[in-house]
Amino acid sequence: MYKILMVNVDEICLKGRNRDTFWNKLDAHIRSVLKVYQFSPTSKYKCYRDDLRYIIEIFGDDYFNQNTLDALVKIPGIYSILLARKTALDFEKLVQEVFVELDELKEKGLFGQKIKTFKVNTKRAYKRFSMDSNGISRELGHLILERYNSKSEVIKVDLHNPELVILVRVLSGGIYFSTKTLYGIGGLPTGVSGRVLTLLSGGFDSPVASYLMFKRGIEQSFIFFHAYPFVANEVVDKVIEIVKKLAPYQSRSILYVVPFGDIQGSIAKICKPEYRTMLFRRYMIECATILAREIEAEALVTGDSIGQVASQTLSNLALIDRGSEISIFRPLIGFNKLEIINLARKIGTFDISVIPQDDACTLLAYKHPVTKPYRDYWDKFNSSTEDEMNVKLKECLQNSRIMRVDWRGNVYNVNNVNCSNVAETIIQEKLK
Amino acid sequence: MIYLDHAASTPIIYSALKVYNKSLVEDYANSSSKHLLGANLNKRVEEVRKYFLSEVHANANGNGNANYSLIFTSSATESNNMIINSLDKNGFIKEGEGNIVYYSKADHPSITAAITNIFGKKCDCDFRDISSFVDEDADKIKLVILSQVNNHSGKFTDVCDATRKIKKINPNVFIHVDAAQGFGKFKLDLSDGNIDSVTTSSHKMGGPKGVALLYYQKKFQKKTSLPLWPLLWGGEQESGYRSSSVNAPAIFSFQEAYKWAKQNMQTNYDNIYKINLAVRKSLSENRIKFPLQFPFALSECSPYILTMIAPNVPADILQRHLEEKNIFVSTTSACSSKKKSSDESQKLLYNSLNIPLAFHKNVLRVSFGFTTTESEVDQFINDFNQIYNDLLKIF
Repeated sequence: MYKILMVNVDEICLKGRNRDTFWNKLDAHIRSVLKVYQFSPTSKYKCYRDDLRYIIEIFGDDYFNQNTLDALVKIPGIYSILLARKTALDFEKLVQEVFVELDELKEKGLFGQKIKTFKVNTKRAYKRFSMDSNGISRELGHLILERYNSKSEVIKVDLHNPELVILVRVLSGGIYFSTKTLYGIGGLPTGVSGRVLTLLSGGFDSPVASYLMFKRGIEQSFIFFHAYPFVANEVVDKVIEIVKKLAPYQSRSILYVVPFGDIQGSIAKICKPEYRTMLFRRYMIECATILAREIEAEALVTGDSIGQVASQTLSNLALIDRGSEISIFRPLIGFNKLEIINLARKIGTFDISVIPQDDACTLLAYKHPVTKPYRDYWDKFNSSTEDEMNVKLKECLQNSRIMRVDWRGNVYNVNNVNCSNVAETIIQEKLK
Repeated sequence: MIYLDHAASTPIIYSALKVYNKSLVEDYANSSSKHLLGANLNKRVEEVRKYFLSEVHANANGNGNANYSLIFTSSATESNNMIINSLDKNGFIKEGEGNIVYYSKADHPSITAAITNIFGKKCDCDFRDISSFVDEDADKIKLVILSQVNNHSGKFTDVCDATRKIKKINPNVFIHVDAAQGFGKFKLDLSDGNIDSVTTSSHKMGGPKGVALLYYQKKFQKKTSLPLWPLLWGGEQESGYRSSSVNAPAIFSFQEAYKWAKQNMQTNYDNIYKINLAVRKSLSENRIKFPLQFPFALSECSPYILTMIAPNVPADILQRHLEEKNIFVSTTSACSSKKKSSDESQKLLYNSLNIPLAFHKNVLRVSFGFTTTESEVDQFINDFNQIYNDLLKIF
């Protein structure tokens, strides 16, 4: 039952004169989370900055609920969140309050068992307070030992690897202390680095790639290529579930489901079978590029990792990049599969990705796909089919299904008329 | 829209719909109620019961063995389950007797799953496939389950003939017939009394969903050696074998649908036979171009069901391509099934139908109904040819 949170930021503290831009983004993100989860008619909350700390305080009879905490730790840019209590600027009162909190731990039987060592860490920003930091730490530590150390429940001070840390912060408005810390995902606040378009499949990799980009303060829209009628419609539901897991990292997520079966079918019909997967990818990138321009995304993000499958050999990735007008980011490029899967478990997409699904690329894939493509064939194929493909790309973008997912996981259908119009102008430009 | 999945469920026949609508509005009383409304409704339900009994010559009135009762259930699945559950509960199939049970892995899951779940764990049953029926150990054969029309292959079994032969070998065998796919399309005659119980269904022959029949020999009524065992306990409707408020509107509508189907049985059969033959013929004409197969000959099948093997192209992909053209057919396979277990049961199913493992993912079922027209089927042939040809270039 905490009424105060002290938020420590991650990389904002490395920023110099532009620091306020970052603060404002983080502030807006935190406030929008509170607006949704921390609503109570009888209470009010206040958010304010105190140097490098961000403090959220609730006045009234409300306190922070678990949903708020779960949502806050997913906000990019936050290093940690301290669940804190506040006392007046009076050492005696501080001791009393700390005892109340530690008594709870004692009742649970944690001392001597889970908690054998502790330390008190004090910072005194308000220099007019009569005791200095070391003095507070020493005195408080002494009193804690006196009260809680017994033969049956032995606790000791350990300044290097304590199992319990009691943080004390003396600020002008009062003394804050905390024994519980939640760790966030760190990085930069969402939105400071611009927007990208992330290519999602239903697999393990792309959601993890997306998560890594969120850490860097990037807003994302998502695109999924739906190979109906080669694959069943259930795949879309799976991708929506994945987007729901990624949605809490930003305030609104848009998912474009592009019908791609027709294009894949017609490519497969006319190309050399070993080039199929590569050509699918090429046109996916092309399609995503058009959409990215339209929604003003500055780069594409994929879940490629070098050499993981045949289409991800260095030669193949390089070839794809050669034809791309837009930067393609691949945050997983040096990751091993196991590392990716561990991250997928952490962000909760593992359980969704693990459900077996049809995948048109593997369905239509040749036994021995090309790993070292011939440029001549590649270029010839692309130039000979360009017109036909442009028409098809326009069509599939116009027929995309667009969904908005808010960060509580509610899905709304969006009728984005602009989408098809802009796609049309871009295609027309290309045709010229 | 061209609907070619009538073996899964059929659209309701218009006259049956009229009866259904009217009855839903007017017959709101509960037929178990003691007042006049309830009593009258109950009388009408009893008349339908008599009607369905007489339609299959279920009561010989003293001449012959046929002496059946009938209960209305909610689905063919319930009827099948009730029989299999009863044979377990009343001790007909007991542990330690070396029971032999004949059925087919290709039967409807309400039979296969019920058997494996109810008998599989408890009794030391010897499960054998009905397609390899032999006289051996005749005295140990306890239960034989026959599907009049198999829902996957369409294979037709002359149940009268088959049961007569089985009863000759061992008169104590319990014979259950699943006629869900055949009722209203083929004659069913219980007059010789060899069949012990029969399941039929309404929504496979133009009736409403939510009603089905279970015929059973009267000797399985309470207090005899082999009582029928209720799945649902409660208000003692249906002679206490199936408690639940009686679904009178669905029952009346079912009767109406059956009347129509019976009246048009021969014309329907002739039409569908022609249609089935036409599909087989025109799709075979292209066999040089593509390797389509019909694993089951029309002569041994119900013409209402046509099973095809489309080698090289996964059936679910064909199905979705047809779906894009508003043509709806059925497939049990998927490139990657959600569950391993369904993969396994599919394997058993097609093995028992003698479909080679290589083709298990290529089985497509087209099933016709009373409303199927020749022009619809022409359209289907056209689109199928085109789609299959196209996909063969990819796969």
